[in-house]
Amino acid sequence: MKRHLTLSTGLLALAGVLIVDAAPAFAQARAFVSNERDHTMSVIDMDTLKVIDTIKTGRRPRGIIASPDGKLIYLCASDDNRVEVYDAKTLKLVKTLRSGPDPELFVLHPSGNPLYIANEDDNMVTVVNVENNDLIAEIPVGVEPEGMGISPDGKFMVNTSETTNMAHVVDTATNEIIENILVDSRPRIAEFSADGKQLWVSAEVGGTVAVVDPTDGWKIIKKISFKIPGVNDDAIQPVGVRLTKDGSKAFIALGPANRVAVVDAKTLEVEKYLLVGQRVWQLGFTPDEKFLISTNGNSNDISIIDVASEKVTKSVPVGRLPWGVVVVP
Amino acid sequence: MTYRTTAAPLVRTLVAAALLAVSGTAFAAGDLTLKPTELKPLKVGLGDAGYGVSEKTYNLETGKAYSLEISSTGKKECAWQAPAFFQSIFLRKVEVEEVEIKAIGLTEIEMEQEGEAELFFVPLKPGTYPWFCKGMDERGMKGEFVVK
Repeated sequence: MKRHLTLSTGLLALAGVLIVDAAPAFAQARAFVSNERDHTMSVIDMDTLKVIDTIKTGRRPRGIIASPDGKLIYLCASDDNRVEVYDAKTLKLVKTLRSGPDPELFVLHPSGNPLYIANEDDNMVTVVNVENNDLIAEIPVGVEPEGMGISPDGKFMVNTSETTNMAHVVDTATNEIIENILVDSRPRIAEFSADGKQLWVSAEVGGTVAVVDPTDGWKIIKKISFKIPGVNDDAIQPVGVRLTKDGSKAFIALGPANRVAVVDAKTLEVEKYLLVGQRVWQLGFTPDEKFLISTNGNSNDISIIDVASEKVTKSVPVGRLPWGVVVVP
Repeated sequence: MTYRTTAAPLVRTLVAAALLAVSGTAFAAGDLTLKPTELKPLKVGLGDAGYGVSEKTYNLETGKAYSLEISSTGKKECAWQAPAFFQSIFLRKVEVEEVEIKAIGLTEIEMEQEGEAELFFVPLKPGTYPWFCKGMDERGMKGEFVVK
């Protein structure tokens, strides 16, 4: 018995050494940033705020999300027409998935499967089983599909189409469009609130964010506009949208205005603007929502926003043209 | 019978046009599509906001060959269109990098990222023809060709 114990302990110790050798010890949250021009993904340790690795990816990496358990990173390699799946700990490419042509943004069903992918080139949303790479459906949507959102219960998927200026609501049981919501010019991101009672859609060229009530015929409750002293209205181009889980705040990335707007998600009034890097594009919370990260395409960095104090605390240089960001525990 | 009544004015017009051509400047001399005049390049996607364009108006003449380089900074996707203009020119070719595309017509030049294309054409009909980046004209990504 004693011998057996010793052997087990020895094995455990060996296993420990092997794990340490195989990958850096990740007890902390890591941010993954897609760098569109470099064809890489930067990995940032959220404790030290240092880039710990830069991974070569497929060409033109843009959309980036994580599996619900945070173990896998999904990345759209737009110019290679595929989705790449990385292990969030070992940082190794696990597999690639079919995507349809020119994938840009995608969303996972809350259960972790399937994956809904916007295909800009052929006006489709491709639905893929992430376990076996099977094509489940191709849903015809508007011209140049882009943003992808899914309701927390997984019943509704929303896709925005850049040129049609619509958000298309798809019933995930039938994979058919049940509603089209006309929003302002060049819609980008569709994001549901955690309770599923609001859908936020940003319009880059229109300069507004539409807040939609999914429980009332998908009507637009309000179009939020932005006004920044000293900044030309043309530079205000809303793209990334993130809402806190408690439904109190929304953060909107405003493109070349170089600001992130903080919006009271109850009153839908803009409270303040946070100065970040240049051409702010997408946003991502840390899992505990203590920090929000913005990708800044023109200044090749990310800004770290302290959510509680609503202050920008640091910028971290990454690759060229940082596009999307996701943080895993 | 119907054919003859409609054809007669057409013939008269054609004869008149032929006479004009003979008596006017060297319209019928040689290949009109060669030795193009190089127009000022058109750059779109300028400025911080990315909605700026380098040229607003091009003044052209019918029967003269032109080349026009159109490029985008990529700050804003530009689906460049000029529908009425495309129908009133003879399109000789479009050059994109090392490729020459010879087609009888164009509907759109889409520059999703940074990129450029060069058009070689001869205006055929006088008029004022708008060009624009589709969906971005409300933000000023537009201009016109004035053909005399």
